[in-house]
Order: sequence, then C-alpha cells, then structure tokens
Amino acid sequence: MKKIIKLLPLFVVLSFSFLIFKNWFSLNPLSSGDWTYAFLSSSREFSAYPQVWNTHFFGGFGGAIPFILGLETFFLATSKFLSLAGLNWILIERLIWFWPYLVLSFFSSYFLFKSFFKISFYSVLAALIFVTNTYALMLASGGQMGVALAYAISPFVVGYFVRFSNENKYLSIKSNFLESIFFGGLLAIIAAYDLRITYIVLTVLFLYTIVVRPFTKKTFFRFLFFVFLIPTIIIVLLNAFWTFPFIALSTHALDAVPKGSYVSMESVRFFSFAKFENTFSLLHPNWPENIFGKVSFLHSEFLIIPILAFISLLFGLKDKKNYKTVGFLSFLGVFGAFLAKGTNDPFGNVYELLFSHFPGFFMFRDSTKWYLIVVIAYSVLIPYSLYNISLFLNKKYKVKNWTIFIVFLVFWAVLIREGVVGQLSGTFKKQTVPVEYIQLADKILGDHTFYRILYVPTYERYGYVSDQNPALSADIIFKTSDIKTIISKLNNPKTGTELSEAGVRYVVVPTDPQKEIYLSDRKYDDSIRVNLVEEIDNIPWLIKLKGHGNLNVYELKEKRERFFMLGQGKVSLKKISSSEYQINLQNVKNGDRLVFSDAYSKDWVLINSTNTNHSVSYRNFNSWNLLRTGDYSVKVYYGPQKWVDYGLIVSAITAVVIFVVLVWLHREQKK
Amino acid sequence: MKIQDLIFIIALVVLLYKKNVRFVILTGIFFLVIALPLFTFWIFFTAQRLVYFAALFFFISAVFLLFKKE
Repeated sequence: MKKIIKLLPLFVVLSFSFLIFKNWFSLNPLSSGDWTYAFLSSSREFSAYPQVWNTHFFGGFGGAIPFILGLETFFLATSKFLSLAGLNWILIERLIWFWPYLVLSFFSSYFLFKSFFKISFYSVLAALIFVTNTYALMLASGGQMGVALAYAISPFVVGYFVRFSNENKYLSIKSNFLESIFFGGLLAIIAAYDLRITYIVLTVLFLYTIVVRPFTKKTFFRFLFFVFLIPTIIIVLLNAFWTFPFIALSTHALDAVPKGSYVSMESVRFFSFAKFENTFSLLHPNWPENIFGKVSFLHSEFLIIPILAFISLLFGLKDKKNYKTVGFLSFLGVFGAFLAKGTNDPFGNVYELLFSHFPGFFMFRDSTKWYLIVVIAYSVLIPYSLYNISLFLNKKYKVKNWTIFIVFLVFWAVLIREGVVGQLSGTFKKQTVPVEYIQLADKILGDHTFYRILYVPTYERYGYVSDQNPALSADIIFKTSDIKTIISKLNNPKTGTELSEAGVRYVVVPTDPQKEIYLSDRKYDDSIRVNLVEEIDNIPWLIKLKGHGNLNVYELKEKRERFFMLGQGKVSLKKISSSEYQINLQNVKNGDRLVFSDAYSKDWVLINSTNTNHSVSYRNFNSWNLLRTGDYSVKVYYGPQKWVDYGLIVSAITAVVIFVVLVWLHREQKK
Repeated sequence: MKIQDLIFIIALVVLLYKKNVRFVILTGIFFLVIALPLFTFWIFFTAQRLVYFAALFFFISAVFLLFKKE
C-alpha cells in the first residue's frame, strides 16, 4: 500500500500527460511539420549504410549531408530493418521516435532533478514541466524528432555530468574510466541526433564547470582528463563516420544549404520571434497554434512560472547545502532566457555579435533552441520551490504536500489548457493518408524506372519519394515561393526541356490535406490550388492524367534518364548506392559527354582504368567529356564517401573497444 | 532611457548599497507580480521593463549565491 501511495504522484503526472499525447498512442500517422511519412515499399529500399550524398535533399537534385549523416543513418537504418520485419510506418515512427522521446524525457528530467536535490515527492513535477512546457510541446507538435530526442536526453547528460564532476575526485582510476567512457558515449549519441542541442548542453556543462568549480587545485587535471578529454575523444571517434566526411568537406560541408538566407543577419533578426518576457516565462512565441511567424502577446498567467522558479533564491539563501546549486540554476535560467530572445531587447546586439563572431554560434539562426537552458533550470527550480513552500505552509498552517501538488497541477493544466483539451495541431492532431497518394505511390512503384516527380508549388509530405524516384519541390528549384512566378516559369517552353533533361516525368499539384501549402494571410484558401490547376492545365507540354481523384497529375512527353549521353554513345547503368554507379558505355565517339543529373559537385568523379576525372558543370548537373572511344565501363563515385567508409571503421572499432573496456572495468569494480 | 528605467536603477543601487540580497530577490518577485496585470491590460512598455529588471535582480542574487562564502 505504501508503495502505491509513493507511486501515486507519478501515476497522476503520467495520466495528465496522456491527455496531451493521446494521439501518439493511436493508429494514425503522425506526419506533420518536419516529420515525414514513408510508404512501406520506399522504407524497405532505404540504405542502412551511411551515404553522405543524399539524392533527394535540397530541392530533389541531391547534396552532401555530412552534418546530419548520423541522424539520417539512424532514421534510414531503423526504418529499413523494421519495415523488412513487416512493421508499417505507423508503428515504426512510434517505436523508434515518439515513444522513446516520451520515456527518455520523463526519465532524464527526473534523473536531473535527483542529481541536484534529494527530494522525492515533488520530483515527478520536474518531469511534468520538462515534457509539457510550451517549448517542448511546440517542438513535438512540429515533428522535429531529431531535435526532440536530443532534447529528451539532454537532462540526463547534464545530471550525469553534475554527479560525475562532483564524485570524480573521490573515485578510483578504474571507476573514473568507467564513468568517463559512459559519459562520452552519452555525448556521442546526443551529437548524432542534433549538433545544436549538443552545443547548448556543452555550454551548460562548461558554465557549471567555471561557475560551480567542482574540483580543487589538486584534482583539476584529473577532472580535465576524465570529465573533458576522454569524452571528447569518444564523441569524435564514435561519430567518425560523419565527422570525418564533415572535416574532409570542411570548406563546402554546408554547400547544399542555401547560404544567403541562412547566415545573414537579416534572417537572424527575422527568426528572433520570442521576446524576453516570452523566454523568461517559458512561453514559446508560437504557442499554441504553432503557425510559423504568428506570434501572440504574452499570456500574463505565464509570469507565475518565473515567480515560482526564482522564489527558490529566497530558500537558497537559507539552504546551506544547496545554495550554490540554486544560484547556478537561477543564473542558467536568466542566461538561457537572454539568449533565447535572439536579437530582441534588451541588448539584442549581443546576440548579433555572438552570431557573427563566436565559434559555432552561426548554427543558431533560430534562437528558440536556447529555451532548452530555461527548461532545464526551471524544471529543477520550480519543484524545489514547491517543496520549500510546502515545508513552510505545513509548519505554519498544516497544509499537506498533496494540496500543493494538486494546486500546481491545476495551475499547469490551466496554463497549457489547449494541450489538455486536444486543441494542439501537428503530431497531436489525428491525420490520415489520403487514398490518392497511396494510389500514386502504387503507380510509381509499378513503373520500376528512374524519374523525378515535381511538386508544384511545393513538395507535399504524403508524396512518394525514394532514391529511384526523388521528389522535386518547385519553390526550391525555381527559388521562389510566389505561385505566379512559378506558373510563369512553367509556361516557358524552355522549362519543359530543362525538366525533361532533369528526368522529371510527372508534375503533381498536391491536395494539401493538412492545409499548410495554399495559405493566404496564414489561412487556408482552396482557390489558390484551383487557380494553380487551371493555369497548369493550359501548359502545352504537360499531359493531364486521369484517375488520380483530387490529386492533379501531369506527365511530360519525354524525359531523360539519370545518366544520359550528349552525343552518339549509349549509356546503361547499375546503381551500387546513391554515391556510386557502374556505367556501361557503348559506341562512344570522341567529343561525347556523359551527363549525370544530380546536383553539380566537383567531388563527383569518373573513374576508368587509366585515370580519375572530376565532374564539370553542365546546366548545374555533373558531366564528363569522354576522350576514349568504343565500348567500356566506368565508375562514377562521390569522392567524400570514402571518408564515411574510413570513419565507419573507426566508429565500429571504437564501439567494440568501448564495449570491451566497459565490461572489463565493470567486472574489475565488482572484485 | 525612460523614467521607469531610472526608477528601477535607483531601486537597484539602493538595494545593492544596503547589501540585502533578500530584498533584491523580493523586489524582483514584486516586479513580476506588478507586471502580471500590466500585461493583461496591454500596458506593455512598463510591463516589459519590470520583467527586464526582475531578471537583472535575480541574476545579481544568483551571482551573490554563487560567490557566497561557505
């Protein structure tokens, strides 16, 4: 009975959370925002082996993705293996992404709180605050699952670091190695999920080190070696399969990212949606509708959050054991709120300076990532405050713990009421896959040939996509989101020829079932889609196909293959991977040119028996002038892939060594 | 600089002169409590300033706790 009563707060919090996340336990697809949908057939074709060249990123012509190769490999490999085992996408996304996010978030935030304070009753509230604050809910609603998983693990990393850094000086050398290797492994995992969250977590750890100083003069180098040096080596080596190609590509590792918009100061200012009163109150600026750019005024009740958090300072003054912890977390809360507001007042120019000059800060065009620090601070401070308030009220007025707990829960429910009553959108809302997209996927699968599919005005999440059939997004390839401009480009007969050369066979006007494409003043307007269809119906080089329901599908009369010849010769190919092709050439004459219609990169090379030639740009595709005549075979290879291969060997050896060392150290400890 | 900023800075200087961290924290909390109805009634400028200075007061208190002698 006592055990049940002890677990009751956890049960209450879990039940409360279930109200918000219930759609994650249904059998509906969760595709929304950044989160995709994968047909069973396409997920079975995913490459489990890391490929640094991705054929359908960045508009659909491909590009190098070393900076997200870890996350991408995890996504593709798990999807492939589970789909081959017979699981459909609805189960895969829950088993690998959404349910682990919930479990890890709960556990790691609870662990973080217990790493700072040995308080039992209110500790589950740390998990409640961490999982159901508005920033976390907007992150989850928007389907940013790579960031979300890194977010979920980060409190555990911070908590583990706090424990390790404080115990380090008392542990034996073997124990230090054990803890150090495990800690390095944790950091390596979080780095693979999201580099920005890793950067933020490392900032917290660094601040803890210099502010709290959990070492003495004698133990400083020991601390440095075990707590920083070994974990750093492990992060780099375990992630070698993507850190190696990232370093090798260094000057152009981010070539595939459209730079102009990403790193300009104008874009940083534009993306600074949150004001200081929002960040300080742990209120996401897009709460609750999560519509990009739509920012509401501060809901004043959210100011109670920082009051509850910082009242802990009063208790910290008297708490001889924990005053430094309270000081550090309060410092962290203000620091995080200051950064999360981006370039807004006060002192917005500090963020601009950091973005321009501080190493690594260029990753934070979106300043809301820094909310993580505020969440970490408040999720620990608020339960600590509630505990001390309950001690005070219990002493003075005999108020029970449960009263404070319930009052806070009701307050929190009122605060995030839209989540509790099921008004949140994105992954929290029931979705279904429209039948016309399933039919289109079946049609494409039935063809078994290469071609690209152009979505106008933009790619729609239920559109079938694979290496064999990449999807193009008109707004990216025409570099405009203005529909009138896209239509005028499509009306140009030259565009038809260019799309044919790019291997486009179908042009699709999406139905937009989630009402996120055809927007006028942020409201869905179907007349935009209707007008678009009418315009495209009149394009002479497109043939409208019947039998696709509400989906408008058009076919081009001609299209090129992925590899084609400018000249007399013929080409046939065998795809080894998205980074390597075996090409058979026939009747090649002098002056023939081989064209490969993925995005141009000088790192694509043509290898024959005598030499290796780098690609030359042909209308932004890759090409090689063929000097040898006759019939022969060549290999077309993306050079930086070799760094993935080397890195994978290093990662595998590191993983094996770590495992062996951990087992051995663990056994030694038991002796 | 507006008159509100001046008032808040004077308050901060007085509190720091008195070296009473408890009052600094309580003043910060007081600022947030006052800011609540101001935001409700869309009196934004003063409300924002109250939040900025509350944060500053908490920051100073946190620093004091961090450097407090054991």
